[in-house]
Amino acid sequence: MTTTHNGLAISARIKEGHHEALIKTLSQINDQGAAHNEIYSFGDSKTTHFATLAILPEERTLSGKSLPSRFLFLTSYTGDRKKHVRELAENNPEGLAEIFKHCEGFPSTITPGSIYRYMRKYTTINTFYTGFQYVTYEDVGKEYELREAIENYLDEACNEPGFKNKSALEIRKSIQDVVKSDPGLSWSTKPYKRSLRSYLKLLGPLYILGVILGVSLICCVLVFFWANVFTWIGTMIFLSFVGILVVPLVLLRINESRPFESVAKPTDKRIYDIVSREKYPIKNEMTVAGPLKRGWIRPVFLFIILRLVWFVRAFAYIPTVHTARWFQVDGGKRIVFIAYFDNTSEAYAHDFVDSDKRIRNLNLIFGNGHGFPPTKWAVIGGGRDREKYITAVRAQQKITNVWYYTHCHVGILNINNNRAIRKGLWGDMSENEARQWLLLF
Amino acid sequence: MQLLEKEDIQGLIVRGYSNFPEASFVLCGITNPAKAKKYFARLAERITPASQKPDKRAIHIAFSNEGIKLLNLSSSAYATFSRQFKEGMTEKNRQLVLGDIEYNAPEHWEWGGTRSEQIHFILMIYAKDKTVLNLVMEGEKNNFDQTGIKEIKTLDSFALPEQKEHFGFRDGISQPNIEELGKDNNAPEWNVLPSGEFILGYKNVYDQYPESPFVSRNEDPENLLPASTLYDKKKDLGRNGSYLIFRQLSQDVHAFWKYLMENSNEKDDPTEAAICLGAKMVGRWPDGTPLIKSPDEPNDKFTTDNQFGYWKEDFHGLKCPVGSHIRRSNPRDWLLTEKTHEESMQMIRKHRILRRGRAYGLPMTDTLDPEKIMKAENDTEARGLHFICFSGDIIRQFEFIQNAWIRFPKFGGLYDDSDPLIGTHYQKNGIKTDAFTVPAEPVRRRYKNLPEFTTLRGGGYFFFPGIRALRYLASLPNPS
Ligand code: HEM
Repeated sequence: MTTTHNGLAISARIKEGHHEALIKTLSQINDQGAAHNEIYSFGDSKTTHFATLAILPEERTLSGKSLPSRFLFLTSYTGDRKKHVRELAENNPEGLAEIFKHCEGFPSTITPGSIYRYMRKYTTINTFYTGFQYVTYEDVGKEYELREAIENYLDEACNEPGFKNKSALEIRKSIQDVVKSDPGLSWSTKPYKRSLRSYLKLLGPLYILGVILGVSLICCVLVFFWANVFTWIGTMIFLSFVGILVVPLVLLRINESRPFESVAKPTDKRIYDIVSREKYPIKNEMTVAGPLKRGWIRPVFLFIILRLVWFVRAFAYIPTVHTARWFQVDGGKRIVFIAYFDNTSEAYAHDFVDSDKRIRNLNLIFGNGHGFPPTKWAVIGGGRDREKYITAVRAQQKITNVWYYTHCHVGILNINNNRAIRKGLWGDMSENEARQWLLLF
Repeated sequence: MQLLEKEDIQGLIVRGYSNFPEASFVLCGITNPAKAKKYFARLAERITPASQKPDKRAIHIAFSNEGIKLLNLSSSAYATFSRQFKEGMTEKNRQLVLGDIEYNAPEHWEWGGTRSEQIHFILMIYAKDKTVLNLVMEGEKNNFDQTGIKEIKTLDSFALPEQKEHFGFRDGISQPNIEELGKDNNAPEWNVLPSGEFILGYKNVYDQYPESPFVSRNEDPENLLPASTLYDKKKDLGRNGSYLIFRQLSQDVHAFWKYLMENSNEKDDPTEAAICLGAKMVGRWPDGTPLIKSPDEPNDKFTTDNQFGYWKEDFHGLKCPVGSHIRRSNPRDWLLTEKTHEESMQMIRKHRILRRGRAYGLPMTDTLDPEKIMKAENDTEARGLHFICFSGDIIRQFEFIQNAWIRFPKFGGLYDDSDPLIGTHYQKNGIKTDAFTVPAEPVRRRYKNLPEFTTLRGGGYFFFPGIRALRYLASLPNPS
């Protein structure tokens, strides 16, 4: 089984005249709670970490083109995509039909198979970032319990005479004994191992790209000494890759010199409407979506950047984020960003805007969105104008109709710490390593 | 460097009046705005500007959102105040953001809460002794009746010995340095901030002018206000002013030391053990010595020391716990969510406050020596801290600190730990916030079920105007 964490994004146009009815259905789910309700209970899923159901309103691009109202059905899941979609469809096909029947292209017969095919058909590519990799929904809960059990043991053990004089390895051994003796924790007595398949699923494409680029670069050099069909093909590949990056960048630079078009500042009431929905003490969600800046190069450039980010996503880092994703809809003219993060969106926005490094990275993507402060060469400027950046985020933020989360009491750092505890529980360790491991508690 | 207009800035922003041990905060309502404005116009002459270093007394004023509204400021001008100020500290969603829930919920407050009478402004009086204080207070209050002002409540305060707060720890040591005041040449770079962080109308840490309330030109016919630095054809009502945050926190000193005595057994001597645990909760020893500088015992050399970081000195919190009050209210160069200490510093610089708090109530013992406090009988005296601070941007500074660092039980990779001194401690719906973890070798100690050591008794957001802005507010026409 693979345990790579991925994002499913389904985007479909809402049928003419169905907007209100869909809002009503989603409100019902939201009011009753996304985990368990009379329409579709995400709590029945064993592969889902998070879900968002949101309606994007009809909007216009800066050149006046209409962007239709859309329904987004997004999940974050671990494992195989097909299995995940099948699980969602099989859990309650009628429930999903209640939702999707308001969207274009929805089939007339409702079976798990037809829903599955519909969802697959309307799935769109998304660039997905996660703060926790190879951790399934079940793992999050179990590893939390494992840590809790060890903590409870340590609370008691600390008071035992002589405990403090034990070596780190001895204490680790006593922890192992406690874990072994608890039948509820027997699952954790096997050393943790991530599968190679999961690893390759995440990093395989990057390695392949790296190899292709490396070989083509070598060909590019070799062609001067040893020109043949292979070295020429390699050279062409390399030059195309450079071209794909450089040409759009130059065109973007030309586009950047257009006058900046700002977005209307959202009213206090609008901001209040958004933030007052963030009522969860540990984690919350945000949906930001809007048209791109003027010019055909914007969607093209963003498309390329999102693909590149997808390749290197395993090395990206956004503090406090559980998962985040970006994708384009409406022929690339609209950008969508959804994130689940620790604490509130205000605190989260600062994680982006207060760090010079992250501002640079985020400019590459958000710099293309309407209202985001102007950039130079895609990375310079932009979010450094904090006032304009925060204004644009809030102006483009949408009210999410429904969002679902699991393990309400576990923060992102907790998930990773719990995993580190589990990883270090078994196997050989030096005294020093054991000391470091004990600092995880 | 920007030049501060000190004669227009109320002095409390630039100095904490450590030479004035006595202070009173008069919470007032306005019963007749027209008359009250005449009072404010006269009061403007008595306000202590930052350009003066008074030796007898200082007077200051701050308005609540309701107070500003009563002065008949146009609705378009009122709209330009910050959202947080307009919504107020007790707004429903804000209660969650600040962690003002359970026993700290505003419905239980004695003033400023959802069930209390509206406060329109606070008159803040500082004096060198009780006689002067009484004299000034009398002078002001005598005017109240004829000037359409009602005293709702007066909060008294006086400095405790050795600059301590009631739990027995030295307070008022660490403050950000305002660049334009150029006071401390030794201040580390991360601790020096441009004045716009705390005073409106000047550039802030983003090198931008902060949002500041303004009026249109024709609303200022007497030309009392300076031009806005942000908007064309507007006059800056906020310039030289700030937002003042007030939270009255009562301290249960007996419960604090009782918990420490009952739960600490790290040392053979129970008193010493309790003090050690207390120091771990604060992040400094009772005499002010930072644990980072001297983790095992207080050291006279360091009682006011503020030159330290956490990243290199104590990454895991073995000296100063990650969850201690000072480490979470100002994590300095250590944010576990960042990759380096430089990046951490870059982040935390955006979230600083200028503290001007004062204690109230008689101390448990004369000297505030923890050993004596532990031995003292419990009493019924109401005591605590009038926490007061200034922020140019309430949401980015005060609210961020209170929300993301003090309230959030996951701060710095913790699990169930809110601030041990001032966090709201509770367990509900699977969320726990009442633990305190002391990292140690070979293993940490976890203290559970922390009771409520402090309880919110009142509070509010206030606009602390520049002196010209006060004159302007006082000159507003009355509705016909
Ligand atoms: C009864 C309530 C409180 C008590 C007893 C208390 C006590 C203390 C003490 C003893 C110190 C160390 C002295 C110093 O560094 O100046 C301190 C520092 C500090 N406190 Fe509090 N405090 C209270 C409330 C608050 C509140 C409500 C906040 C803000 C939301 C706050 C923010 C800070 C900050 C920012 C520091 C400086 C940390 C640093 O820069 O190292 N405190 N407090």
